[in-house]
Amino acid sequence: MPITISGSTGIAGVDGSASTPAVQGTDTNTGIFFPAADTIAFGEGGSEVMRIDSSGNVGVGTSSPGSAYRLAVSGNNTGMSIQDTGSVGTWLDFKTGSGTVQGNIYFNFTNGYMTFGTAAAGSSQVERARIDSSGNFQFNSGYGSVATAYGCRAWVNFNGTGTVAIRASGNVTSITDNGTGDYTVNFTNAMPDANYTLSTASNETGSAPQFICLKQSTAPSTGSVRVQARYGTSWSTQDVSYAFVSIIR
Amino acid sequence: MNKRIIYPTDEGGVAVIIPAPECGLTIEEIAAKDVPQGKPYKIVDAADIPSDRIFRNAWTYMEEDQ
Repeated sequence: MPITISGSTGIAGVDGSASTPAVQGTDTNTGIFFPAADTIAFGEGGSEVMRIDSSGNVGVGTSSPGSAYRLAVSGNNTGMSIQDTGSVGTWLDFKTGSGTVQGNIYFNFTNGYMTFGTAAAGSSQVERARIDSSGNFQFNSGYGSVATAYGCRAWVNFNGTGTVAIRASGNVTSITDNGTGDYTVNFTNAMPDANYTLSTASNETGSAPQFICLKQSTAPSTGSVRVQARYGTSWSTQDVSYAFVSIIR
Repeated sequence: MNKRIIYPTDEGGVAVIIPAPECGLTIEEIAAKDVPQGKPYKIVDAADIPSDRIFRNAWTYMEEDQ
């Protein structure tokens, strides 16, 4: 038989606990209890699972959501999900005090991409970056629109004179000094194929034209590329004190 | 890394592998990866490699170095 309460007080006077909630159903260790002033908690099976603290902050899996979080989720190997039952799109908006969406993360289920939006203070967000369904990272960094970015996959700056040495590098395990002005750049992680592009430069060591090029009659490989520093009208090989090589794919 | 790896080239010269300081591999791992398969090689101190490279293309890999 339902209980009808008249007046404005309702049920009062019992705080309860996680093991014996103040408000229960037929399961006596599951329900709502009041662990502290201005605090509401929810228990399941005798343990607290969620709390709304005195500041209105919500903790799921934690009794201390912290003052900086309106919603805090805690657990071991846990996560949060946003499900779109229509499989169209889900998003997370970051709003100003007036309600303007100045920042945004959006996922499109139909085409499988995720976008990131930002804007100047007080303005509505505009898509700035996107990861498409193939994993391509696209962004608008002065391109005029969101476009795929192609990365430098390996690079090295080395001194090819005297005691040959690498100054700095990325995705390079070593260079091989094959002879005068003749070097092989060995990649740490191989390229997906050998169809990459090579960008090179060197310092000027004399009045003759000088450049670094792919070694004659050799083809780039996925694991390394062999280059030569050449100069003058005879294109003789020459050691260079500053050699710059980068691989873009 | 003050070590170098040397091995003979097909042209009769010697190649010198200079490790990248930030690559995170040991000199032995670099040798296993970057020395062409089947080539004998030797790990030496960087100081053992001549810094005078005027006759660099005349350097050879001596048998006793193997």
